[in-house]
Amino acid sequence: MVQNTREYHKLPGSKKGFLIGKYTLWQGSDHLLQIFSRVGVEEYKRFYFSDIQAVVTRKTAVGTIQNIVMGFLVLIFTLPAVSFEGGWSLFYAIVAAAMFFLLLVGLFKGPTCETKLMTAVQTEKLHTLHRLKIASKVMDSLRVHIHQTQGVLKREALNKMPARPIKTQNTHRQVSSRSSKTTAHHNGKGRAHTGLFVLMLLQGVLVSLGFFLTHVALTIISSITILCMGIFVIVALVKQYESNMSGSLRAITWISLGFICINFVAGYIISIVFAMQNPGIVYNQWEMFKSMSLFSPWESPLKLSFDIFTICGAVFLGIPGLFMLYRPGSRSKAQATPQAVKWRKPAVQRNSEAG
Amino acid sequence: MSGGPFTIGFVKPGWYGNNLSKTQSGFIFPNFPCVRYIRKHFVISCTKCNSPLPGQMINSYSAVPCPSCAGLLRADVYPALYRVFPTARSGDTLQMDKEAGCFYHPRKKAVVPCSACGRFVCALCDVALNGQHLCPSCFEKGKTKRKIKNLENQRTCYDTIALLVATASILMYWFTIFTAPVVIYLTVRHWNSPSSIIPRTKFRFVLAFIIASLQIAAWIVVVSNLFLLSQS
Repeated sequence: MVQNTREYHKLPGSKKGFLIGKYTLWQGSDHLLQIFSRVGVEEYKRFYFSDIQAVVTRKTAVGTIQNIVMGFLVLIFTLPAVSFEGGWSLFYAIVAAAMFFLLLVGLFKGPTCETKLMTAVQTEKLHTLHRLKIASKVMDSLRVHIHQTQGVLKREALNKMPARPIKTQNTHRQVSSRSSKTTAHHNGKGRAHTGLFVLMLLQGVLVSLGFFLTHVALTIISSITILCMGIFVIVALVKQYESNMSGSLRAITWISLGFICINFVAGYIISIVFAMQNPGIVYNQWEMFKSMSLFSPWESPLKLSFDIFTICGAVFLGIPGLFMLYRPGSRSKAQATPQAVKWRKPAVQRNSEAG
Repeated sequence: MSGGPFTIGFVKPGWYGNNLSKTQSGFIFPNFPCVRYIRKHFVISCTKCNSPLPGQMINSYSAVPCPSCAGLLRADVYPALYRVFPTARSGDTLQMDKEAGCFYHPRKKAVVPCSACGRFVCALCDVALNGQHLCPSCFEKGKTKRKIKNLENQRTCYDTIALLVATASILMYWFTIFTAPVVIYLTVRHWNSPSSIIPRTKFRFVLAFIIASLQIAAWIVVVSNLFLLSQS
C-alpha cells in the first residue's frame, strides 16, 4: 500500500474545467500524468520524460484583468453597503467582502500564464500550470527528472538555433497561399468594436454618475448611448464576420449583444413598474421621462440592482474588449505581418533550409 | 497484419511500408528521409506571436521578454528535441529453414519471444513496453482488458459517483428514496472494481454507504410513522 501511494506524486496546481471537471498533474517514476476528472470519470494523458522536447510557459494578462474587474466589483458593492442601512447594507457588505477575499486570493496567487509541453508528436497545454509562480516551481522540479533521463542539452546546440526561419520556395508558397486566404478573410479595422466598447464604458460612467446626480440631460445622454450601443454592436458583428479578429474578441462582441438586449428588456420592465407606480403621468411621455430621470437608484433596490448590473457589464466587457483590440502584438501586428499571428503554427517550427 | 500491434491511435505500419520510428512510449510515426531531415532543424517559437526565439532566450530558466511581442516567456528545451529516432526494423527474411520464424510473419526471422504468451515474433511485431517484449495480440489484449496500466487513458471511478449521488440527492431529499438503494448497489457491486489510477482508500465508498444507509433508515422511520398515524 505504501508502495502504491508513492507511485505518483501530486504536483502543485490544479485547474477547474469549464462548468465541471478538474485538471491535476502527477509525477510518476518515468512520466508526467495529467488527469482530467469529471463526475467520476477520469481521463489520462502521459508525457514520458524521455519524450519531452520542450516546456514553454508564457505570462498572460488574464490574472491582471481578473484583478481589475474584481477591484471594480468590490468598489461597486462597497458603495451601497456604506449608503444603505439595515438588511440591504449587510447583504452588500457580505458580497463586497466575498469579492475582496477573491481579489486577495488572486493577488496572492500572482500572475497567470499558459504552459505548453512539446513532444515529437504533440503539443499539449498543461492546464494546471496556469500561475507563473507554480509553473516555474514545477518546471524546475521537472527539469531535474528530465535531465536525469535525457541528459543535459549543451549551450552550443542552442546557440545554433537561427533567430529567424529561412524561407524556401516551399515557405514562399505557404506565405502566398496565406495571403490569398487573407483576402478572403478581410482585415477588420475594429472601428465599430472600438466605438462599441468606448460607448459601453461611457454608459458605465453615466450610470455611475446617476448615483450622485439626477438630471434629465444625463438620462437623455444615457438613452442615446444605449441606443448607439445597440447600433454599434450590430455593425461590429457584421464587420467581424469572416474577418481576422481573434476568437476572444468575437466572443466578447457576442456577449455584448446579450448584455445590451438584457439592458433593453430590463429598462423596459423598470419603466413599466414605474408607470404602474405612477399611473397619473402614464399618458404624458415627457412628464414620465422627467420623473424617471429624477428617480434615484438609492430610492429603489430594483433600479439600484439594474444600475449595478449595467456598470458591471460595461466594465466587464468594455475594458477587456478594448484591451483585446489594442493589446500589443495581436490584431495590429497581424496586419503588419500577415503570417505572424493569424496563421498560428505549432510552437516548435521546422526550419526547412537551415543546415 | 490487419489490426496490427501499432493501433493505439497511431498509424499502421502498412501505410508507410516499414519505414517507421517509434518513441519510447510506443508512439509510431513515419520516418521518411525528408522527415528525418527536417527533424534535425528545429526552431522554438513564441506561443503568442509565433516568432522564433533566439538561442540565448532558451534554457535561461527564468521568464524573459520575447523580442517580437515583449510577452514574458520561459522556454526549457531538452535533448529529445534533437534526437533522431532510429528507423524501426522491418524484420529480416529467413535464410535457412532451421531458423525460427515469426508467428505472424512465417517468412520473417524471429528475434524475441513474447513475454506473455511465448510466441516468437519478428522485429516488426515486437512491441517493447515497460521492459517487456509483447506480441501484437497480447498487446491488444493488454490494452482492451486493461492489463497494461500505462495504456489506460480513461477510468470510471464508481466510488466518486456513489458519493456524488449520495450527497447531491440530499438537496432534493425526496429523490433519496430512489438514489439510496442505487448508492448501496454501486458500493457493493464495485467495491473491488479498479478505481482511480492514483491509489486511494475506500473512504468514498464507506462514506457513501453510510449516507445511503442513513437515508434508507430515515425513510423507514417516516413511512412507519405515517403508517402508524393512518392506523390510529
